[in-house]
Amino acid sequence: MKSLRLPRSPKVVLGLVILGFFVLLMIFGPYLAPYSPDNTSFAPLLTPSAHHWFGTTSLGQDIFSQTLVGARATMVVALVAGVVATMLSIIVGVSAGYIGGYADDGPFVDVHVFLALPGLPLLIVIDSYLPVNSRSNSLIIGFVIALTGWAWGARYCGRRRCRCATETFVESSRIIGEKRLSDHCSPRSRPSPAILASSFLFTILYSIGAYVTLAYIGLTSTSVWNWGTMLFWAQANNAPLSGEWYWFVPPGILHCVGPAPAWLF
Amino acid sequence: MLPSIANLSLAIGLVVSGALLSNWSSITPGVGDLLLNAVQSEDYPLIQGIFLCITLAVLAANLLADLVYLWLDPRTRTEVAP
Repeated sequence: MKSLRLPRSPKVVLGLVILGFFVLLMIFGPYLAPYSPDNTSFAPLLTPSAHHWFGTTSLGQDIFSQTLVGARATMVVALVAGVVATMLSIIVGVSAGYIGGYADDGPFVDVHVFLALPGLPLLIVIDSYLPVNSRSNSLIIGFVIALTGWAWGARYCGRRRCRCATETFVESSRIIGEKRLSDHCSPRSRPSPAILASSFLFTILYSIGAYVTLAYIGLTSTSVWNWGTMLFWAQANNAPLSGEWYWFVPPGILHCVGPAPAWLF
Repeated sequence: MLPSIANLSLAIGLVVSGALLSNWSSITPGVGDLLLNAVQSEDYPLIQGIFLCITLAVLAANLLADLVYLWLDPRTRTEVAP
């Protein structure tokens, strides 16, 4: 477990603190919420106060409660997408090393096509084909996000293999006429834990952004509370134009800070 | 300079996504609006058409970036890119 020992730089500590904060928010957020996020019995558009820390929406819902409840859906989708996308990228990236010949362009064409494709439109197109009732399912949404976000990790997993394929001892065995060069490369092309961890964290970063975007433009179920849905309702009620900053600033800041550990590690 | 061109070719897709998003969040009409309306009214041929056009445009831009890369770095002309 030597490779898992974390350096004690301030950056990593800060990253761990933020990560811990968001994991706690995901686990305990819905229990900490003082009111139900659907409770419309308060006065509309209250500014932040001791009773309503983040104020209320135009329907009189407590924004603090919505933020806490919405944390879980956002983080669950991000985790599901992170796990699935990392698995996909390992499968594609490493199998490229086994299937591919000397120049393994074949499997990597897929990776490069997915890298170059604009992710968001593809996500929207796939999402538009989902039945409406499955758009509230965190697992399905996470899986769809993973489908559009795995290529970056696969590129890193595969790059090790490509680098190995051009090394001198592989070159020389090619020159003396060996056919199965994969045998030389495959043992050396296993992705390291550090590459896997960074690919996982960056996929989570991507998924939080993708999920919040999808929800923000109203393509996930609007009855499931997450930070994107809050932004959707804020936008739908013209909150940015009429100066109700407390409505869209909390979910906006949280979904920007949430992926920060990926940059800090 | 070469890494920035390699990054540019990868960033084009992200830039297009960002441009679509800024279509929705501001009042500027554009392809983003069109796509969103098509999704909401379940106009699948239009969705597919928009996605095809976006993809072709992004791939063409990528090809251009690759050609620029070849033009700038003679070493990449014979080797297989990693």
